[in-house]
Amino acid sequence: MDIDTLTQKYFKDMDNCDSKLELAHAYYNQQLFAPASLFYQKVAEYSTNIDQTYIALIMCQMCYEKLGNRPTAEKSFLLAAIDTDPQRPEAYFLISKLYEKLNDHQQSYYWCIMAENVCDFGLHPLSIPCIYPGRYGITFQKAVAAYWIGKGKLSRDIFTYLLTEETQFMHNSYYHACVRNRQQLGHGPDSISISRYLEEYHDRLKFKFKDSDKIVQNYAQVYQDMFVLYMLDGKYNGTYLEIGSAMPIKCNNTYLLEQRGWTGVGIEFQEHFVTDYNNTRKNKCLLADALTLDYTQLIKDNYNTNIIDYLQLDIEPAENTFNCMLRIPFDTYKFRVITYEHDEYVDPKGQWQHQSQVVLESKGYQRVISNVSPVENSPFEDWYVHPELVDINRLKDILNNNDTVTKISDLMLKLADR
Amino acid sequence: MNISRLVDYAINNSGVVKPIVIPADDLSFPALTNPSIAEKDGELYVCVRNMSHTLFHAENDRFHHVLGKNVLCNKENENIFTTHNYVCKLNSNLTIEDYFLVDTSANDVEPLWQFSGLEDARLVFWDNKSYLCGTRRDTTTNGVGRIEMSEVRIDNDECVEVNRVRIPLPGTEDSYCEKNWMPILHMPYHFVKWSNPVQIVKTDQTASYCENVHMGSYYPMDYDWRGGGQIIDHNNFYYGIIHESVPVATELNKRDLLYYHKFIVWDKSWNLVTQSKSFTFTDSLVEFACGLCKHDQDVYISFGQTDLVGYILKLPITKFESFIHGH
Repeated sequence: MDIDTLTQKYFKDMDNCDSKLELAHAYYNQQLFAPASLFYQKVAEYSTNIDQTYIALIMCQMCYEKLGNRPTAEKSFLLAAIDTDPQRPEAYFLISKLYEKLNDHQQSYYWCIMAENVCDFGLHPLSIPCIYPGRYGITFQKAVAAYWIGKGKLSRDIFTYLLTEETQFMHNSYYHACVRNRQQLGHGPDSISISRYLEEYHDRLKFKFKDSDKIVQNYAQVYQDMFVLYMLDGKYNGTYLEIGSAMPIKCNNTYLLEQRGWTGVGIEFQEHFVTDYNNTRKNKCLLADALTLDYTQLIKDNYNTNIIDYLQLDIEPAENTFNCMLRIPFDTYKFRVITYEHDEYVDPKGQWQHQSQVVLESKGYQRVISNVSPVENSPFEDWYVHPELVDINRLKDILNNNDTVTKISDLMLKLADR
Repeated sequence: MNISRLVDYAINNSGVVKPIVIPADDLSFPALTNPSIAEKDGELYVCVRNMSHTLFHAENDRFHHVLGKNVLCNKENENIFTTHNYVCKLNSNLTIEDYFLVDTSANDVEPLWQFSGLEDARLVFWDNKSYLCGTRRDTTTNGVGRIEMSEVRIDNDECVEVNRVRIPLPGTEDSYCEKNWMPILHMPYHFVKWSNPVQIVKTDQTASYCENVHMGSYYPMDYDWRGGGQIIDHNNFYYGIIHESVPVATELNKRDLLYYHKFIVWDKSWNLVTQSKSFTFTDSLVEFACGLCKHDQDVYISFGQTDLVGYILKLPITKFESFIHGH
């Protein structure tokens, strides 16, 4: 019913809170939040039904949120709602979000703790367009607040819990936010560790290649460059396509290759990386969105061959890397070696890893090493070769086609002598 | 005191009450209230106040704002409480046919006080010109309020403020804030400045002066009679609507607001003839009527509810008279 009709209904019995609530909803649906707040507030003030009072107070807060930048009023309504029915979770969730918006993360965290200790999460849901998604919403809020107040490990653990235990209940937006946050948080200090190769390790290097003894150090995070060179027996003057270039030297998979005369193109979305790259490196890096690029044209313009030695697929997040891969013209161009980042460690369903494996294997690529990880339990890449384009004996030597987590230094280096 | 609700009376006596609604996307600000209705050439127009702030009113003393029971809620990063006005044309169903934000840009200057804009403007048509007569407080750094007459041009596709003048006080009078002067529709540039004792002042379209033209006797009343809508001339009597602001103590012994309204009837010499019983319009405690006009065989009263909503109430003249005389 429209506002006019519901106004007439309200006028016929002005002491009836049901008709006021209906009228308030009608104003709210028309985005007329000031008059909506009047009638919600009347219901809150006069209703004798606890649920109705609670709904009205929550809706008052939502009106004021829509009116913009009136957080003191919002707070008043939410505290009133908590006072009205302390066991209901919606107001705790909303007040935690409100404090998050105000950058008061201690309060945001505090109200989540209160909710966890006070609320009955089995109460019937209320029929309001409230953004409260369910209990996991409060858990999510707690994880976010925990991050901001210095409880990084707790935050990481909660996101991990949500991704392993609550995904079946979670709205997509929460799932993606958990994935993103979990990814940002990584595995704590260990997850950013780099497995660096230095020339003094040469005796321990399991997979040697031509002139490997001349390498002073590598630059990739987890031996990607050493893997490429091993598969191609230390090739000089090769070619690469580097999607997701990031930094030009540190943790870069192609800088070592460039030192051996390789040529190729980098693709990077962030301008500061591109600027730095092109000021530092001989080979160029293009500022481009890897998800919209025409790769056929790019390869035509930059390569004189249908076979490129190395393809790096590494953009964020894993879903984007997968979608980027789908744009590569694998039927026209082949790659001898591919390193593919799936970030399985923050994707407990393993969906992007699994889907990427299906696609790449259907294109004739053989997975050589799965679940590459700098430390235990942080798998984030799979490595592939095209079996027709590499030395089969080298392939046999390195083949490790299982899904156990591979701490890369254990794979690439023999144990050091005592 | 047994207070009746005029909306109930209207609905039960062939009257109509309609909310004033303008689509949210077309509004400057959230609150649309305190309308003033007037007739011109057989058409009904309304000027309605659009405010940047909302009124938080814990009517039943149940859930207060952390700052109190009655709080004006502006955006918390904005210091200025701003009023704009919309002029609307009504159709015969009392719904808005067309509406224009009054374009005041030609006369606007930087506000010097935290309440900005023309507040609770009464719409009048005098000498073939259209005026909004309301209070402006933004011209001095201490918020002195005076009645201003804002001449507007209402065209088919816009409403533009042509000129604005600030009416001085008559004689040696002085005050901090003038509000709620009631334009007398049949006497151009005359206002009921105060209702009890009745004080009639006269100015001109340039507001070059203001003089007292009548001062009546005081009638003992419980509360002050504060101004409301325009004064109409009907059957040799003058009719006005005023409000009484009744202070009430809350449970915490804090002052709260309560508004009652009354119709007042004067004879042509401005002697008080009668008054209606006090009434409210709705179930709200804060209400304000600043529009009264006669059109065909009906009386129209426009009022605001809690500074958040506005309505037009239409009542057959005979029923209007019956209400006043308590029949």
